[in-house]
Amino acid sequence: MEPTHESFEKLRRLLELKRHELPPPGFHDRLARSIRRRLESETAPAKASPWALWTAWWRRLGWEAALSVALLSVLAALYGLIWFQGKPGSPGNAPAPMLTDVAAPENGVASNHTAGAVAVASNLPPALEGLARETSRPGRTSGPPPGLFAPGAGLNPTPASFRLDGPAALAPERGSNAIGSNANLRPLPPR
Amino acid sequence: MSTPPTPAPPAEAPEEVSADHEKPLIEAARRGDLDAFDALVRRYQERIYTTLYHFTGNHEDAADLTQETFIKAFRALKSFRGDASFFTWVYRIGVNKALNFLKQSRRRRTFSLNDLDERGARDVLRRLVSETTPLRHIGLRELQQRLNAAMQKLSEVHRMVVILHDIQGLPHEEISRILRCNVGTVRSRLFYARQQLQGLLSDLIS
Repeated sequence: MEPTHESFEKLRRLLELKRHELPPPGFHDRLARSIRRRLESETAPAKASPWALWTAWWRRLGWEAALSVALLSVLAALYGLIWFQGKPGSPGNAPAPMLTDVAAPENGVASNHTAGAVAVASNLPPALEGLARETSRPGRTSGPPPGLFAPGAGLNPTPASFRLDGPAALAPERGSNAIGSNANLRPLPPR
Repeated sequence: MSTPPTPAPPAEAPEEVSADHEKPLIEAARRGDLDAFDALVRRYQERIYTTLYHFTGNHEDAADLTQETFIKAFRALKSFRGDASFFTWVYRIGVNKALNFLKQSRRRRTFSLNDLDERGARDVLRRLVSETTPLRHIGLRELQQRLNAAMQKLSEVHRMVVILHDIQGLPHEEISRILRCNVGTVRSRLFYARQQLQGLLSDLIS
């Protein structure tokens, strides 16, 4: 087809139709806002004062969403408080323990550690009072708490210790894939 | 019911209209004033978007590229010397973005048809139908699809010249400044692109 001025003119008018292709309503407004948001987030670290960040966040969020978040936070806090108050054993239900001074023990090492503020709850049952007093002294002791393994208590602790039985212990046994398998470990006789 | 948006008018020599008015805005934006830059964005985003939409043929890509164009423009404002108008300068950024984008994504893209301003388009079609007999038998949507398909068959540089001149209505001189080539090149590209389109749409423009 030979191009003529007239046919070019028809084509140009046909192409004018494309001027009527439009984005959805409100698109340009949203686009401008998203460009603004991106620029704000880019420039925010440079002038990151808490107030600027807060206002930028508030503007971005919109007041309806911010109000909803605030209301939900308050409700969650109230619910948490009520639940915590109603829980058995919570500080709100139990009487506050009275703190009293306890004399330091005769043990010199322990007395160094416990000199100062040592407190024991005085309103404990009598059976636990002694134990509480002992455990409130974080001194070095050589054995278990007194009375726990007392003769006649029926408890006879045996220390669990093992010894490698010579250099052969490291060599694998014939037919065994494991190096130093448990078969080479002999339990020591009780002391 | 919301009123339908009005289509973007063909670009009138924008640098003459607004060069003096936008100087303070550019200066303020250069100092980091986002409100001033926002005013510039709102002034030009529609034209940039429309160009990029016709170029990429895809609404989402055009929206992303428009964003990228203005973000880059804001970052590069310090290097804007004012040799060309702000409009030409931003357009150049947009065109380069679009060309790079199409080079990177060579895959065939699906054309997302935007909403059509039916009333305006029908007026154009009515005028065309009175002159061109075959157009009587074609619907508006079908015509739009045919046009878009034909546009996508042009090479990138030729498509860009057709968009800037025949759709956006920019003069040859402005296009030569945007594309950084001489006016003769713009004219020859336009002639070649129109020839191509005429061949592709010969059954409609007989």
